[in-house]
Amino acid sequence: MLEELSLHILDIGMNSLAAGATVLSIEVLESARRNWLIIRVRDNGRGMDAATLRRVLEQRRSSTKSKRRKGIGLGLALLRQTAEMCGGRFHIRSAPGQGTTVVASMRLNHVDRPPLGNLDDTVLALCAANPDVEIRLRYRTDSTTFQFSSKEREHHEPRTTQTSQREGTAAGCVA
Amino acid sequence: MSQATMFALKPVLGALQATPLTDALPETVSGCYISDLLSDVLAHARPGVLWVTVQIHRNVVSVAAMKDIAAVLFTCGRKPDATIVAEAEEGIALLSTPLTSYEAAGRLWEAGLR
Repeated sequence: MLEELSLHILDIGMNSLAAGATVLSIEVLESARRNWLIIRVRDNGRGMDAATLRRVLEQRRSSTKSKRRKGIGLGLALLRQTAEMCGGRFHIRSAPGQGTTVVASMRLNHVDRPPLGNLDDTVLALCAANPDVEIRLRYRTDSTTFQFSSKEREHHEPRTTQTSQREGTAAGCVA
Repeated sequence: MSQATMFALKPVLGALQATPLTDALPETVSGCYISDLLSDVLAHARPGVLWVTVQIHRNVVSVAAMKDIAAVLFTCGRKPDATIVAEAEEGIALLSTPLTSYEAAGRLWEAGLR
């Protein structure tokens, strides 16, 4: 397991950028009331076919001698392990040309849940290294919502329709 | 390990290359437990022990308090944030050493902690 969930987000984000994403959407829901921490990272990169997806998720214990294929690390397998260990679930959806969505949930109060860590620095690092990519962050708790986009205009309007839609998604992924 | 066997901590601080992070240090510990998985510590650590770990996040202090752990030794030179140290000031001693957990365990064993 990585020490902070921000590092997982950084890891997934780097995968997305390596996959040629032009829009990278990071959502974090931290709900004490419902006792869930949910991370959702979505990109419009080139996506993965079924075989690649399988390989990414495998924990390849027997492969110590063979080198890993370039660009495919242990990150997602580790995140899945963390999510499942902390009473949550892990889900990834991807297809060639369709982008990739990764969702990991965990019990907020699980004693082994890694701290979220420094989300600001993570997003900043992703933005600084990729000025042409639109990087969106949406961080929600029971009482507050913080939104950021690296391509945000001066004039900012709240996107209420999207909010309710996404709340439905977040609740659905843990049902 | 019997609860009656208490081990003096202060004489081994030198061998552990340990720096206290909190003011108060317990005179003795009842034993030692080494783990980086907090749920494992919750399940298996006995009261009064010295807990050796690389984990430095806030939950360490909570788990230590819950299990009446006497002191926590952070290895590999790791130190928690000042706010976390402040939370621990009530009754749990925190220490840090540049040694690895394995090396620290070896020194503790050599010093007679069983």
